[in-house]
Amino acid sequence: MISFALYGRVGQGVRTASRILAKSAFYSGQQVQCLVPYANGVQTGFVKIDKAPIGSRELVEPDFFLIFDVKIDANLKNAKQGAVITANAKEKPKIKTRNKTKVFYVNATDIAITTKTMPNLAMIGALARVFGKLPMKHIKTAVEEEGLQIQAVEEGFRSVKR
Amino acid sequence: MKQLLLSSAEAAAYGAKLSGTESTPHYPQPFATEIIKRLEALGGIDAFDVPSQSDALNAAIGCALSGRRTFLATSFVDGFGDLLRIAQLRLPVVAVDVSRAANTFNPERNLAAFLNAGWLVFIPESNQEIIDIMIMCYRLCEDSKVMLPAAVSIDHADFYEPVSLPSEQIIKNFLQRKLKKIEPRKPENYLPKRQDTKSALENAAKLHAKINELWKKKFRRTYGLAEQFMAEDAERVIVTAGLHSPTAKGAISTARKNGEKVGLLRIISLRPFPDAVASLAGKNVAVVDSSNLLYNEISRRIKCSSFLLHSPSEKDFMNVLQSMKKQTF
Repeated sequence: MISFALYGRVGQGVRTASRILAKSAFYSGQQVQCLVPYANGVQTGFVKIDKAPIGSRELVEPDFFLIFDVKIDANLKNAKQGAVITANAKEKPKIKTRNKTKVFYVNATDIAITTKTMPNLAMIGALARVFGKLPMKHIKTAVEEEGLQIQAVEEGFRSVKR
Repeated sequence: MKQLLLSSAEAAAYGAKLSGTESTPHYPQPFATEIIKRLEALGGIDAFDVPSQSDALNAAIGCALSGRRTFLATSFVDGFGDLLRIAQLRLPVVAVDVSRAANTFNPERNLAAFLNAGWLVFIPESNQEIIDIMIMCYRLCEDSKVMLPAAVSIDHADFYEPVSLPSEQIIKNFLQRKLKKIEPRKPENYLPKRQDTKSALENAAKLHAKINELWKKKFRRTYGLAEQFMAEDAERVIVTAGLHSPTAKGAISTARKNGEKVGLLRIISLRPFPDAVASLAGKNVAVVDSSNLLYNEISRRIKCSSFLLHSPSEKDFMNVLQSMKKQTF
């Protein structure tokens, strides 16, 4: 089972991003579970993907972090061994972790401003590149269902750096 | 059968749409509004906003009296007297209540109100169950031998899961239309109905079993009043309900692999109350819930202990099983 955790400020589109992520995985034939708690201030989203149906509603330790704002305390210090962190930043963020993790970054805010969308689409694009198992055509279907454009996702896909 | 990825709120909206709901009076509230928004997007439904929760309940009375299939979405209850009146008039209204179990510290408050007002109360564990139980509720409530309102509790509005949708035609055949317009100028039409509420509750339990059989034939899914999971030969039994019960099932399976005699009883319906609870008498029983509502109901019938857990993990349930060992009954 692969689990994702999304952390962002309210208004950055974390809810929509969780939904797009869950739907695109679902369309690619996976079993999905997604939980978006009601929030004020920091919005979180949790997505679990597996080949077999997922029963347990437990929030497991995430394999992939999607950090919309680096200043948010997402308990990254205790991230598990080999976890992949994708952050929204202009330069490579300094993230201290106990275990060995991989850190990627993408300037989603600038992409959002130029494409006139929210940072969520660029972040989903970056995740698609980092994760590598989400086909773009399914992401496109999920994005269009939300009434949004795919350009920002493609831009995020291209501009993610390590 | 079509498979879709739906949130709990969307599942409730599909449940109402498939059941052929005609009237949905609505007072805007967090979570409940999401259900109504989805329902309006699905189309063909008369949803109208009213200025207070009490008005929504009173409008539901009017809609149900005029013989329309009525649906309510709530996330808090601000008019206990109106809930009571719906039950007293014995109107087959189905309400979906978002209990906010995952968000607040006082979760099943509304459910207690529904229960005390005399409504039938159901607690589904998954989004699939929300749709199925809602449809079954309309069939159950509209039967002339029952004629009671029902509340379906949702723990979390934004919980997404794959759901297979039954076709509209099958449900249309399943829910035959039995509603009649009640003439309000003749109180004798509906007032005497109050007297036989007790027999109506007994009929509801019997009829639920029948409807369940029918549902099993059609969709190969079955929902009794309670679900027993490895509980037949168990010494220690956890009783739980709602969204987190699949997590408990995982913990029970793990404990069984370690050779422990443990089991689970999942409560699906609080009224009609399942007989399966009585069969647990004499066993070491612990009720795991986020409020004491479930414990209060069960401790009236059998001796049990209570554990309050907020968004429990599998490890929490394992800890409960371990601490049950120390208790003696």
